[in-house]
Formats: sequence, structure tokens, C-alpha cells
Amino acid sequence: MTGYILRRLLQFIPVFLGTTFVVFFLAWGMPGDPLAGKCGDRECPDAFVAAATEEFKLDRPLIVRYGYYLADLGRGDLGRSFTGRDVSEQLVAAFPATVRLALLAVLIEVLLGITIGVFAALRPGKAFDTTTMMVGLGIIAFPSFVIANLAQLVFGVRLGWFPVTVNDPTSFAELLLPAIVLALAHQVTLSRLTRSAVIETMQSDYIRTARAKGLGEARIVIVHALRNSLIPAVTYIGKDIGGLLAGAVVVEGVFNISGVGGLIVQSIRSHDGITIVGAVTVVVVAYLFINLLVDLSYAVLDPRIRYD
Amino acid sequence: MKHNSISLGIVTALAALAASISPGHAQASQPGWVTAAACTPAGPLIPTNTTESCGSDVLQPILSGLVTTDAKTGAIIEDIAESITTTDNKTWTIKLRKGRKFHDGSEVLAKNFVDAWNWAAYGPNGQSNNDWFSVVIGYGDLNPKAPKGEKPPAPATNRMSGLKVVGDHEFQVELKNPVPVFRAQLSYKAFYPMPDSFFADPAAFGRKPIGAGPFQLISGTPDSGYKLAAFTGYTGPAKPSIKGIDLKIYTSREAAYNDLVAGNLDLLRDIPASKLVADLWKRDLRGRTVVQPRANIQALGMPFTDANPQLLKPMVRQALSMAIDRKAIVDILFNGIGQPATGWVPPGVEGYQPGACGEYCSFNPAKAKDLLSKAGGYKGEIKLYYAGDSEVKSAMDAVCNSIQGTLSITCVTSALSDNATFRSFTRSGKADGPFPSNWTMDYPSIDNALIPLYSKDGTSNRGAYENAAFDALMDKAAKEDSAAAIKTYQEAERLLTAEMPRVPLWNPAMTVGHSPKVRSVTLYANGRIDYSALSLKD
Repeated sequence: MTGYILRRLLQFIPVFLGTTFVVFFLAWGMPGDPLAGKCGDRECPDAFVAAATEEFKLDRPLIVRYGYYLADLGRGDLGRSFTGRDVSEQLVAAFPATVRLALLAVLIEVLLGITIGVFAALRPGKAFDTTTMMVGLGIIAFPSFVIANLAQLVFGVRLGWFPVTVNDPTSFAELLLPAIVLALAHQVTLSRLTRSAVIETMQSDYIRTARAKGLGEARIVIVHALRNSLIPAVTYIGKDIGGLLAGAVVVEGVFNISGVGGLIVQSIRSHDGITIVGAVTVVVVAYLFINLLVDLSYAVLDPRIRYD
Repeated sequence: MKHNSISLGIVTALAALAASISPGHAQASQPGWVTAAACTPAGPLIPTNTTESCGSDVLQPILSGLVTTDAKTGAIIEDIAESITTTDNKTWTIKLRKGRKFHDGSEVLAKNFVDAWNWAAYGPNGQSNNDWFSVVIGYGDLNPKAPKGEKPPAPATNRMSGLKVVGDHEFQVELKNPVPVFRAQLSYKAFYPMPDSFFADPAAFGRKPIGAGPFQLISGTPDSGYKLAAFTGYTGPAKPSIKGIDLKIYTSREAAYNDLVAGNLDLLRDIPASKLVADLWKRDLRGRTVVQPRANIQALGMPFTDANPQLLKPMVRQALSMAIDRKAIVDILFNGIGQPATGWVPPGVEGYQPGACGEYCSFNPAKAKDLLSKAGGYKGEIKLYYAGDSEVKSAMDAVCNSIQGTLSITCVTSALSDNATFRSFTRSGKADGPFPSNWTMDYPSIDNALIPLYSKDGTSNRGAYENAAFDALMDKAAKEDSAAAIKTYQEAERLLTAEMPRVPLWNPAMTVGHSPKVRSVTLYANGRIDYSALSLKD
């Protein structure tokens, strides 16, 4: 197991280098002078252009600049954005909100999705199963900005049950509504995945054996069937956390959450290459870690899977 | 058992996570304070390097300069300066009021101005407001020209010889060329004083700026917002009646608008366009709305290269200008907020003259067609370029439709991916069609709408426009006193009708929505809220 984890961690290095390389070249390869439009309606003075060119080495070839970037990265320095703010400072400001929102959303998603999935699986084709499926189809048919705006207007502005927007630093109460909005759409897939896996497991031989032993139905479902049905669900949840970390840009925008997604979009718009590379790299590393955790959880859920 | 310990670990992790999501710190706003919407400043809050609006919004209440504008009348009035005098528009003697203080308690002295100007003008500091000082004698020494293809050499000095401290409260400025409106220029934030602590640690200042203005920055960060308290040591002309401003950061104006309607916010500037439709905002806010013109002009920039020789003909430009139904666009697209432009200088600015553009900026389809046929018609299509990430798409579509409907020229809009691409393209000389070109006044005086844009060496003359008669008038004005100079500038503005270097479109207005707590809101010409004049209901 330890050997496996070490190997996986070592694999991070080429992936990390590859990502920074690709993102660096994409970010700086965007057409247009990155310094254009940096001085409001005015054109930038020569001294400003000269100083920025010097600081960001804009007159050097991209490959040389990438070398400098990696050297800085090696010292733990993510660099400084065009605007004069440290990239690490921007990331530290943006990540907590996004991480909290993502974890809260996944928590709600898991509670809803797995419960609905299990109950639907116990009586497939019956009223509960078909109702949740129809409602679920309805939910995913709406784009998330419609649901987000509607929820904000109804529950925030009109009814006043939830705070309308989120302030920095974020609080649990403020994040609840956006998290529910995010979870609603994601739980649909999760519940369907859980449903089919549980249905399949419930027909296997060992469940019949468990019944024959005289075990209670609740214990059979929760302990025996659910655990073996969780592998597809866990894979999906892992992908979800990763996706949410990259930023739920639309929902973050509606609820005024200054998170990672907004930061990346903003820096792409202002051609802030250094911030783009830093933010995307951190997201990629987070994604890799979550993937590793998902893979390790397989072994926990299914004893037949071993890593060595 | 091993598996159980892992699941136990997961449960513990989840519990820790739940605990890390702290409960809400919902804060009722303190009495006398207002909550206003703001956006994340892009960079450190250094006035000589802040040209974007989010940072400027935060800095405005904190800073004071030699002069300021009276938000009610728009006139330039003395602030920290006691007097600003000159006999030849070149040598200016500036005397300061005694006892004006920075927020750190130190007095504002002549050296705080001179040091700040020298620092901002020093080339290696790379300030985006560096070129404001190019009129001062000695600016060249601080910004040596770079030999072709090389880096500029290090300056031999860091002081401009044109700046002299005469006493604690008096200094002298010598300009290279006469500048009749230098006093008005001084209202721009590049000319504001800096406390001694700034020069020791500019980065610390950028996080927590110290000014001499009516409000003092107490705490805050670019992401969480700022708290500005009324400065108790303030003795200037703009003493506020409110106790403080809580600037809340919003990533979108739609989100801020919803907070305003829900009663969580007191002030929001620039209401989102979707809420202006059919006066929705006036109903949502029950009339707690303010609309005020602002010193801004939106125009169509014209290419001045041979990328499109047809557009170089003045008569074609005049025809295009007369083919645009500005009033219909303002009324329908902007719900009547703003006004059609009748010249190149926005209203509310010293030297503004209504109708400077004359008949050429009025909608006259017959004359437009006539001018176009006299010019020999127009072959092919007109391409109107704009930045795809800006909000101008619908307005540019409307302009295109107007031109097409009147002159039967095919007009298409073409979106460039973003602002940086758009700016690079339009100043490259490759643009073969018109493009939106906005100008926000740096200080409210007519010369600021003319010199940077249309004079030969204008710092923002993107179309590379050149007109000898216009430049001659600029030189003439320079030698006159400010009243006569403004008349000369007005004459020069009328001269622009002949060649239409830019086609004036409209002057947008600023929209503000406020909570029931706010009694009255006054805006500066630049559209920012004058927090000193803000009054609350008790």
C-alpha cells in the first residue's frame, strides 16, 4: 500500500510539469498585448511599460520565461500577478470559499443522492422511484444559473430565509443556499448511479444468504448491499469534488462568492498569465490528490481490490 | 478492523470540516455608517499607480489633493492648497493651508507633494500615472530615453529640477511649456501628497493607504472589503456627516443589486442594465434612485491609416455620424439614461459647450445620403470592431443597424476576444473599420477631453490623428490665461467637425440606488459618490 502511494505521488511530478508547461504556453500565447488596457481609457506611459516588461521578462522567449517560472516555483514562489498582488495571496483568498462550498455541496449531495438512490432501488419502478426520476430529470433540464438566480430571488430576496449573497470571510449560513443549488443537480446522477448498483447487488447470492440467515432488512441493505454498491458512487463523488474545486463559476458569480473559478476567469480576461498558471496548477494538484483518495477508497470498500 | 479505522478517519475528517465552516458573523451595520458596494481593487492602492475604477473607488474618500471639485457645481476649489498662482502659466507658486493632517497624524507639508511627484515621475518606479509629470522641468532626467532595442539607462537623479520646496507650506513648480489649466489638473490623484511613511515602505502603503482625506482606512483587504471611518483630524472643506463607510466587495453588480433590494446594502452605483429595462429598478427600489450625468463620452474611433481609404474621407465620416439615430438608441437601449452627445466634451466639464458638433451629430438621413453620394458612395461593408468581453455589443449592433438602415451600406459588428486583443488591434493601425472608444475625464476641464486624444503628441491619440490647425490652437491656448484658453479650446473642439476623428455617440449617466436609510446622494462629475455630502435619516 505504501509503495503504491509513493508510486502514485511520483507520478504527480510529470503531470505537474506537463500541466504548468501547457497552461503557461496557452496563457501567455493569447493574442493581444497583455499590457494593453492596463491604464484605463488612457494609453500606458513608457515608464510603466518598461518596468512591467522588465519585471515579467516580456521581452524574453516564452521558454526562458517558463524556466524562470519553474525556478521561482522551486523556491515556493508562485510569482506576482500583473496587478502587483502575489499569486499565493490571491489563491489563499480564493480557495477557502471554494473548498467550503465544494465540501458542503458534496455533503448535501451524498446525503440526498445515496438516500434517494437506496430507497428507489428497494422498490424499482414504483411510485418513489419514478417520482424522483422525473423530478431529477426536471432539475438537470434547467441550467444552473436559472436555478441559482431563482433560488436567490425566492429564498433570499423575497422570503428572506437565506442570506442573499456571500461575503468574505464566508460563513456556513451564507454558503448553505448555493451549496444546495449545486448539490441538487449533482445528486440526480449520484442517486441514479447508487440505485442501479444497489439493485444489482440486491440480486446477488450473498444477499440471499444473508436473508436466509435471518438478518433484518435494514442491516442487509445498509451493511451488506450498500457498501458493495458504493464504488461507482465514490468515483462520481471524487470527480465532483474535483470539478467543484475548479470552481462552480456560475453559481459562485450569482451568490457573490469570490472563489477559484472567478479568479481564473478574471485572470484570463485580463491576460494575467502568472495568476492563471498558479491557480490552474493548484487545481490540478488538488484533482490528482482526490483521484488518489478515490482509488484508495476502492480497497476499503471492496476487499478484493488490493494495491501493492 | 483496519477498514473501520479508516472510516473512522473519514468521519473525523468530516467532523473537522464541519467545524471549520464557521457560523455566520452577521453584523448589523453600526449607526452612522453606510454599506456601499465595491469591487476588488486590481492592485496595491497606490494613487500614482491606480488607473482602474475598483481601486479608484476605494481611494477617492481617503485622499485629498491641492484642489478638489465641488460635487454640486463642478467647480474646482482649493482643498489643501491655500493659493495656486502664476503669471505666465509656467511657474506656479503653491501655498498650503497650515494644520492639514495625514491619517497617521503627521502634517501635510510641501515636501510631501514634491517627494510624491518625484517618486511617481521616477522612471524605474514604473508608475502608470508617470506621464502626468512630463510637463515638469527635469522629467526627462528621471526618464532617460532608451537606445533602440535596449533597456532604458538608470536615471542620474531622482529629483525633478522644476520642483522647489520654498518653505514648509510653500513650493514652486516650473513647467516646460505653459499649461493654462494646470490648477484643474491638480485635482487628479496623481498629484496627491504622500506621507513620509510611504517612501519607506510603498508595499505596506498599498495594503493600507494613508491619505489626508475625510475618511481613514481602518481595516480591510481586497477580497473582504474595507472599513473607512470618518477621520477625526480632518479640517478640510469636505467634512462628512456620516461616521463611516463599509465597502462590501461584490463580484457582480447583479448580486449587489439583489442585496440592495433585500435591504442588506445602502448604496449601489451603476445599476445592472437588465434592471433598467422598463424602469424595473424604480419599482424595486420604490423611487430610491438617482440618475446623474457623468464626465464620460462614448464615441466611435476611426482608423487614420490606409487600412480603409474610404473611411479617411471626411464626408464619409460625417455621413456615418448623421446616419446614427443616437436619441432612439439612448431611449430604447439605455431606457433614456444618458444623453446623445452633441460634441467631443462631456457635459459638467469646465468649457463644455452644447452643440459643438453642430448638425453633424444630429440624425439627418437625407443629408447623410447626400453627403455619402457627394463623397462618391461607399463600396463594400463597414466592419465595426469591439471587445467581446465588454458590454457594448448591443449598442454597437444598434449603431450598425442605424447606419445600414439609413445609408444602405452593409454594416457588421465583429467581436475581438477581449479588451487586450481589442486595444492591441485598434492601435496597430490594422483596423479597417470604426471601433468604440470611450473617454473618462481625469479632471473636469475641456483640455482633458481634447489634448490627449486629438493633438499630435496626444498620449492616447490611438487613431494617430493629426491636424495642424488644431495643434496651432493648442499652442495658442497654452500662452493664454485660463479663461481665454478655454475659449480657444472650445474653438478647437468645433474644428473637429471638419474631419470627425471620432464620431461622438452619447454621454452615459450614472445610476445609483440607495436604501431608505439614505436621505440624499451627491455624485462627483466622475460618477463617484461624494461621501462627505451624503446624509442619512436619523
